[in-house]
Amino acid sequence: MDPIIEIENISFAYEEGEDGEKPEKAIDGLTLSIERGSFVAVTGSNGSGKSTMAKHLNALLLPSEGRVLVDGMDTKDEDKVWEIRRRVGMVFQNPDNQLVSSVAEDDVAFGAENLGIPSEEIRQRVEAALKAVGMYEYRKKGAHLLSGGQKQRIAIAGILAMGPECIVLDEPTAMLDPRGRADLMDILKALNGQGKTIILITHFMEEAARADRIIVMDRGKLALDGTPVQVFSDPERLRELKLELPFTVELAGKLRDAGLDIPQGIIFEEELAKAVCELK
Amino acid sequence: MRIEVKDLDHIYNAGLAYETYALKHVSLTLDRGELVCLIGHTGSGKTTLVQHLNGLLKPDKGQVLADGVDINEKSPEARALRRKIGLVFQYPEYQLFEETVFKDVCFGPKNMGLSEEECAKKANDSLKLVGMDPDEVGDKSPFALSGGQKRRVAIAGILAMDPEVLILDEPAAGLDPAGKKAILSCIKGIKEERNICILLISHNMEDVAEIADRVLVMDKGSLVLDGPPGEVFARRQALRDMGLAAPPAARFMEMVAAGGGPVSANVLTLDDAAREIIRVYGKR
Repeated sequence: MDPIIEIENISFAYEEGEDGEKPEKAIDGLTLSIERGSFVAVTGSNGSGKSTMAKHLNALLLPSEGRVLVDGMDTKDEDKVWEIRRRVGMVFQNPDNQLVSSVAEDDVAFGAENLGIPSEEIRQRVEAALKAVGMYEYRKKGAHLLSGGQKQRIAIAGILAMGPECIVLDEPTAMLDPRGRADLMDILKALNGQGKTIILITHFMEEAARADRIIVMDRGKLALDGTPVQVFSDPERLRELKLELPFTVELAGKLRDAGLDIPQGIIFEEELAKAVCELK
Repeated sequence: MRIEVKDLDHIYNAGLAYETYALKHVSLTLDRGELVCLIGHTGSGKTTLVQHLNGLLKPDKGQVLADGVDINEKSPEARALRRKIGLVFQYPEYQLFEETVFKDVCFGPKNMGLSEEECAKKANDSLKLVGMDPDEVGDKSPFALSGGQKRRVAIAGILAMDPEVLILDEPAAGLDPAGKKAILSCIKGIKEERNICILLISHNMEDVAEIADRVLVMDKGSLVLDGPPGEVFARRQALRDMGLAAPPAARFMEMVAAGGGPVSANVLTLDDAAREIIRVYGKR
């Protein structure tokens, strides 16, 4: 096992409010490690701590207890912060809050420029990044003329141009329409295929089903951790955690309950359609 | 209240080289007691259309009538009618601003000049209708609530003004499954309790298939389909050409049918699909 990120028994609480009420721990004794090159989906209901956890992965937040190592570097080490952020890039939910420049390609170049990369190389990186997210033909467009999905792709290209090993995305598809969402998932799968580690925080179980591994958080702790087939094999537990089952898993369950011979471990539509057609 | 949209045009950059029709010849009627879902690809004109329904945008051509009166007239009557049409924007929780939930919900009725007592009653009723206990959350800061709760408070703020038409722009976007479920059941509750017209913009075909009495489909500024969900979603090819997906249940059954399964793909929900498969393959 070659982990890119190791989370070692971390806890974190946000500061107390004006009323002096002590908030509960947003993260409470979490330990996990992320394999280099893997595609990990993180899910959990609101307030489960998944976004807080994500912000620990590139030192936007520092744990109050425990430590986070990125390629062996402690996120608390101030000298390493920029190196950590170069390796682990973050993409957030709202596409409108992430673009800093009025022209798409300038926006993509922004992060790389801040790293002090020579301009010729920046040009190459920006071009490659725009192509990787399918936005090259839009490079001269004004950012305000892009759709939400296109803006998210520009935000991802900006991260790519910085040459990260790992991209953390916090509900990147929440504000997108179905087509924008599907396009973005395809891009993430392609980037993962090229060796980037992808950590995707999402409420959409159909998206989580496409990961190698699903982590479910609950009240700042790890509630479930396994392959999609393992995680979806326990519908009761998922319901307890206030999560939905993917359409396919729920339908397969209903058919099994009615006595139809549907094999276990089905998570994709194509598999279930095939199983249904093979019924006698 | 009955809303009639008659031959509505809205043109951006009129007279310039890049003039575009955001809405083109849109006509439709909305009636009391209906739950209507408006779907369409990004940029199809959904939001532009609903902004015309309460006078936020004015038509370049055509009319919006509420009970027969043009809402864009400058009469007190038209103004009163506009107030009966409540619009809840996307991510309405960003518009909460008061110190307490109760004050925030009271803001609308207070502006309408109601007495403190009446405002309080309307705020309490509205909070209950969105599934929140006024005694429990009334004195809390709206910012101390979860995303889904904040959104319900924002909806309560509009309900407190007693709308006869309630328009919601993607009310479930970005919520977790529990929050989404709560919002949808709150919308159904509003429909039952108040018997008003509800118009809902949504990208989620599963939700639309589940709750809509009627579905409107916009494409490139025109209203292209209008009918019950079963009819609209049966127009697969037309929807695909517009970049819209069928509800997951219908899509799945198409896949089974394509694989040779003798099932009907005319289903809307997961339960429909399960029933149809069991009908065909069960007990044989």
